[in-house]
Amino acid sequence: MLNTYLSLILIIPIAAAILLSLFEQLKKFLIKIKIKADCVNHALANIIAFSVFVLGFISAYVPAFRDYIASTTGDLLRFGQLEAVLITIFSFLVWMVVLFSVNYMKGKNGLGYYYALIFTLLTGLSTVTMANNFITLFVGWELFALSGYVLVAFERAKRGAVEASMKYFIMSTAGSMLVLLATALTYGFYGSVNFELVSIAVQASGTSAIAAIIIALFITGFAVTAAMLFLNAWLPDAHSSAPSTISALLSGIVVKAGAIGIYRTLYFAYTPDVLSAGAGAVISWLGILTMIEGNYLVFSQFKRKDIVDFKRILAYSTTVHLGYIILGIGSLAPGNLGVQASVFHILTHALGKGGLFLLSGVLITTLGSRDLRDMKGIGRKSPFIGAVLTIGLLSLGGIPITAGFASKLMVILATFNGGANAVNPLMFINSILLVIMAIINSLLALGGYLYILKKMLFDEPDAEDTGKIKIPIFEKLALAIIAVVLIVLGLWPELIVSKIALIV
Amino acid sequence: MVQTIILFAIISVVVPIIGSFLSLLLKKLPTVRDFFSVSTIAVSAIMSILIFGTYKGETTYLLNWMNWGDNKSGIYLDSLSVLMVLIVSILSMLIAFFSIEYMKEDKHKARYWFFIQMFVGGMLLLVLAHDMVFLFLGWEIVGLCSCFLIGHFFMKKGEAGEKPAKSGIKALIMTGIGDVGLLAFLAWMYYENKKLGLTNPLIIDTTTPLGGTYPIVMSILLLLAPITKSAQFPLQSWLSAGDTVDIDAMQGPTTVSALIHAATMVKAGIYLVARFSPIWDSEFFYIALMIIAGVSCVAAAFGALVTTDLKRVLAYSTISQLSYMFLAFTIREDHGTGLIPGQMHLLSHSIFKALLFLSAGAIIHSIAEERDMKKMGGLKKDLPWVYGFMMVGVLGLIGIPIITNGGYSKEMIITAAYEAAAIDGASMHWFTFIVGILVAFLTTLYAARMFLMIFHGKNRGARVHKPKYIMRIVLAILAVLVVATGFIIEGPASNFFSGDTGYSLIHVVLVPFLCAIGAIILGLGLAYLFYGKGQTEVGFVEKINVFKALRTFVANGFYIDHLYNLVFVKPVFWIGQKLSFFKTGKINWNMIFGSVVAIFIVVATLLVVMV
Repeated sequence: MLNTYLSLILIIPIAAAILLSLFEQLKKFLIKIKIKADCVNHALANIIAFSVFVLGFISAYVPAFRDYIASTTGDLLRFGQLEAVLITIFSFLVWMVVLFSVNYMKGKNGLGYYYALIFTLLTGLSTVTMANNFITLFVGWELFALSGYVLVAFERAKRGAVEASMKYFIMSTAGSMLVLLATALTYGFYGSVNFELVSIAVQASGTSAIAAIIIALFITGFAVTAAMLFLNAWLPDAHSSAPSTISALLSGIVVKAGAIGIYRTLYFAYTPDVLSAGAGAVISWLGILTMIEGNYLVFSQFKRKDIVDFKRILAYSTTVHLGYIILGIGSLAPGNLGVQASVFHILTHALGKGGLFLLSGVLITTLGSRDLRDMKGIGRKSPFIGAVLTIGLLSLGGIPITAGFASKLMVILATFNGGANAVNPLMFINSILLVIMAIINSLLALGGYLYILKKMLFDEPDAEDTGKIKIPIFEKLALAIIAVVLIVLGLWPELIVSKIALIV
Repeated sequence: MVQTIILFAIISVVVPIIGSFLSLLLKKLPTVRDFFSVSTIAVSAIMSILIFGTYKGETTYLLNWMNWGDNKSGIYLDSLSVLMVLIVSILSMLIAFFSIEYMKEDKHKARYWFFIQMFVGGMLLLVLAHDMVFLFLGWEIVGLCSCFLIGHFFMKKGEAGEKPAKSGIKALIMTGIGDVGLLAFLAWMYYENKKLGLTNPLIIDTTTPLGGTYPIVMSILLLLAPITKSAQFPLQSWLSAGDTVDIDAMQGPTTVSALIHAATMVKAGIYLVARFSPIWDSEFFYIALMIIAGVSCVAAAFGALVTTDLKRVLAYSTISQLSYMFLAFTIREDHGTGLIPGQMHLLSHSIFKALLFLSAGAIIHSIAEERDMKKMGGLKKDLPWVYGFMMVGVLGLIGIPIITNGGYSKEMIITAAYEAAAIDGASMHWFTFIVGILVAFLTTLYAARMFLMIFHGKNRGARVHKPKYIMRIVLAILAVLVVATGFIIEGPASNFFSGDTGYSLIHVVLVPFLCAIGAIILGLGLAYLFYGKGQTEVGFVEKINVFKALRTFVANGFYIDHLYNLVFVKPVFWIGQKLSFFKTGKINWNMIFGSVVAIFIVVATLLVVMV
């Protein structure tokens, strides 16, 4: 029997999804008894997102409560500090997105379905996070992926939306199938899909080529969602065609599910002590190559003649940060430093990139264009936009007084420590190379961010001042909360690091 | 229980940082905001005096700032950091006070004050840090503030706005190269100390030399950081580019140049080398440092001699003087230890360069933002006060013995180099000595050239309106400090480091003293000959082709920016363009099947091989 509170984390959003779509169905009936379904949906969605966030927050910050919740986790789910922190991050971003949507999606058709899909996405991600075996993980995986496909095509009248969704669907399904194949192979060879039982079986039978192939299948499957090297063709289209709120969710939390999957594979089922250190090195180098690819693709966008798509640039920059997260996980650093660093980076990237995507929503609605060249000097016209833009970009670039600084530092420390404890001197050199590459890439990424900053804040606007930009109140609120959280965590990262450090 | 002195230190860091956010709230009350912002910095200054007064030996304090299990951050007070805190906070206060008047007509002062206060907090954090995380944090904060303060005027129309924006970004990116080194060093240090089993691996422990356990590569990585931050060759062009490039830190307000790019931030590199100097005992590190500093010292002096932009003369001169300090640090022989002279030169340079920059600011402010010295001339009559104050600053820069602080500290460095070479027989310090003397001559030449071009001769087209009293007050205080601190340099200030008493360090060694005096006299004579009557060009340079070519070379900023553009910037965009060729965006076999299978095969092969 599951703990009530633990099941609440999964049941609240899914129940809310049903309720929300019900309201949407009964829209015509409700209007007769003087109830506006849209208003109810907005309010309900906010309350639900907030309550999931509060549950996660309490379980992350109150150890006694977390232990109480975790005490009854069984074969199906697991719940520890890692899961608590991750669910807090996910639900926080979902809450911000839902808050933002109150203005952003106002008057759009099918609002109830939109919110319902967001909550099924949240449920799926929570399931992936909390899964204790590969089948549960796969169920959660498909749940959020399906919601994702539909959400990308939510504005289906828009040019390219359906195509992008289709592309995402095909690629992601290919990845899912690899994961399923690997799960089947795991069951076939080790007689179980439960992480602990698999790890015991793997340890008993020793490492073999078949284990390596299964791991490779898992990694490749998860890498599609994690948008790693050359598997990220779906990412820019999906991000730029989706509504900005959905781009924020995709980039902020969905792609991170891939990293979580890799983490589960490498740390739980096929534990580091059965793997050679080489496995970590392979993953780390995949991360580095992903970063390099992402960085250069960002630069290539700047020089495009037809359209310099702001959202596309942000999407490619997501690839760079996924590289960092994979790097932390692949470092296999002692004391779980790598995973802690990755979780921290998931947090800062979710906030920074989520904030910027939400901001892009504001810009696109006001300017009617996604082109960076049309956004020249937009930060001058509205100091609020300028401030949020600066904070978001600098946080992504890892500049202090924003939270990105601390997480980048942790990732790099973890990377160096990963290979450093190995007996093989090659691994030591490898970790030096990894660190240098990571730092150089961070410099390149910073260059890209500063380019955007220069265009959007420093450069003179082409047209004369056309009056003030009005940002609706809820959009402003969501952006302000994100910016303040980034600054507060930048000034005193201990607030979250002390909780992340409990991840073992 | 927190010690009182630690409490002072914490207050001095935290108050400006909190103040920076509070000052944003005072949107409706601009005058209050000005004085509020200065007052938070003044709190830091008072705290620094209290720290100086109550300092009784090294003190440390540890706290949890970002503790993932084995990293406590901390604050550390020793004579080096106490002196740095004193210099930074007092100069910041004076310059902030000056900028109330200087920035009076600026429309975006909220941003200005935010970053100035944030800068002071960051800089104090940098010098007070006990662990690498705080050090790096402060290091990055000052870099960020520098970027935004350089680009402060980006809202201006046309090119006047474009140049500052580009300059700020250039500064952040180029100093980012140093951050690469510092971050790599930090990661490596964490690993090495963790291997030794230390509980707080990132604490900077300077009591034991760690040359044995740290590999030499680490010292080179660390060296990258001071080279970029203190703008040594070949990474100097963010601080001072050529006249034709004109995209450098001097595009910011002059107060910012005075505060960040002369008095404080660029000293962070010096501070870093001084802080880590007990750890490094590898000769290689010091030889590398000596060569880089020697080249920068001479080349920057030539840069100052060629440029016609008033602020750029001072910027090049800053680079040149910073190299002096680095050169001093390389002297580690028994008789002439360069650490204290280097520190003393840091102290005196901060003061006289702040005075020079603020005087330049007063001049530029008075003649409608004109920076070209060719258009000045004959300002002695119109700006008699500034003339007097700037004279003191120039004398300090030249290093006139006995009456100015620059004279004392420069003499100490040259003497130390001479003694190391002559008495201890370290022949490589003949290089230091010769560079010292040569640059003393060049410094005299360009300082006098600048002074004569501004104040003497005929007015070549600058219209003057007089500066206000606030400017005069600050200039007067700094001018007094230039003279006054000279007398304590060889006494109390040095004793603060060495623990001696009295004026025991005074010893005039005849050869270096005479050489320095000779260089100064020669420089002054030549400068008067060339520029005394208000000339802007020197005749024989115009006629001889070699000199002309050399001048073009220097005026283009040694073509450093062109080189970087060719080697780094263009290839990045080029590769990006080529790479995007693979991203057609069409759903076809190569996209899904190809990439999935390819990645799978690669990963599987690698894993199987490694099993």
